[in-house]
Amino acid sequence: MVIDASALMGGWFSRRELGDAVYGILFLLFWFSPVLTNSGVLHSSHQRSFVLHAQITHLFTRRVDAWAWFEVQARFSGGEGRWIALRLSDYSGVQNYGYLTRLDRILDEAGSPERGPAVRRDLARWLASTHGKRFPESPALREVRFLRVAAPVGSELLSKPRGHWVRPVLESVPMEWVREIGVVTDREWGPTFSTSARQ
Amino acid sequence: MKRVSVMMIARCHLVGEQSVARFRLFELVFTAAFLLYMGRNLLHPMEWLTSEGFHLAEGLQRPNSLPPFPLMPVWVVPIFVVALFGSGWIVGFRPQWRRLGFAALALYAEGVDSASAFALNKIYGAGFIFLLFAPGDEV
Repeated sequence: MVIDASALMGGWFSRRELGDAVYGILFLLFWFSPVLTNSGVLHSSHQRSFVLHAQITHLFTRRVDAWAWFEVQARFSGGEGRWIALRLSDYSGVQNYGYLTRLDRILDEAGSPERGPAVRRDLARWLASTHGKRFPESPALREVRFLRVAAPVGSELLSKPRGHWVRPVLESVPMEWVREIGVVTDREWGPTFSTSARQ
Repeated sequence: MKRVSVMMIARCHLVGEQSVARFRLFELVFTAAFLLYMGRNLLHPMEWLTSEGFHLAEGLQRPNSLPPFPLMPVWVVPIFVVALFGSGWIVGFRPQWRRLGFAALALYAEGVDSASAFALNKIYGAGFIFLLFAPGDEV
């Protein structure tokens, strides 16, 4: 087999081949180049690019040393100021993330430094109004607080011998694992209840 | 001696005539997987698609996500279900009409609720856009 470079562009493309070439260009424009751009390869030197490729290929190149999650607690009318953990599955049925609901996914945003305060306020208001609708005989929510728990990997509390993995109960974890992110009180969803969440 | 140009090799591998059977198989499996994926969210359609569920306000989504699309009134939800499974039926049994199909639905699912749309949803959106432009009407 002789590869003849002079015949590289020999002959016109047929209409069908031209169509195929257009699809190829669309693929490069709308799939391949966004993937390259998002992976940072186009913005970096060759050496950095190699490192990035290796990281993308290996996905997890560093050992995870802590496992973090968010908890939501509430104080109820007549609850003597006790914080009671809210089960988010009582308020959301869409379980998109294994045994977690889409509200658990939204909680990730509640920890963001920029958007967190507004997300927490909207979510607390929504939880208060939904709690009133779903559990009309239950006392009303007065305060909602958001906690972040960071557990060091390897801890006994994280290991469960069988069944799907569940988070340890908040009461059982050491206090130094727990950090309060924010509290929203009923002053922020009082009689003039309005929310910026989409209606 | 037969001369083989670089372009001929490229044509063999990248463009030109290919059997449509593999493409058709991919299209069917991709569509079935998408219907399963959407069907799981449809177990709780009101929370997912209407204002009954919690939806982040505009500006509170993750950076790089689509601007939020409008939520549905309750009466549109059955139409959405019919459109979804109707598009699945088209891909399966009337492939010559499949250009009417899924790309818009996958994009809507991405925009209406970023909390239930993760990377898989983006892959479906992009995949159906490519199927929209794909050759192979004769299958």
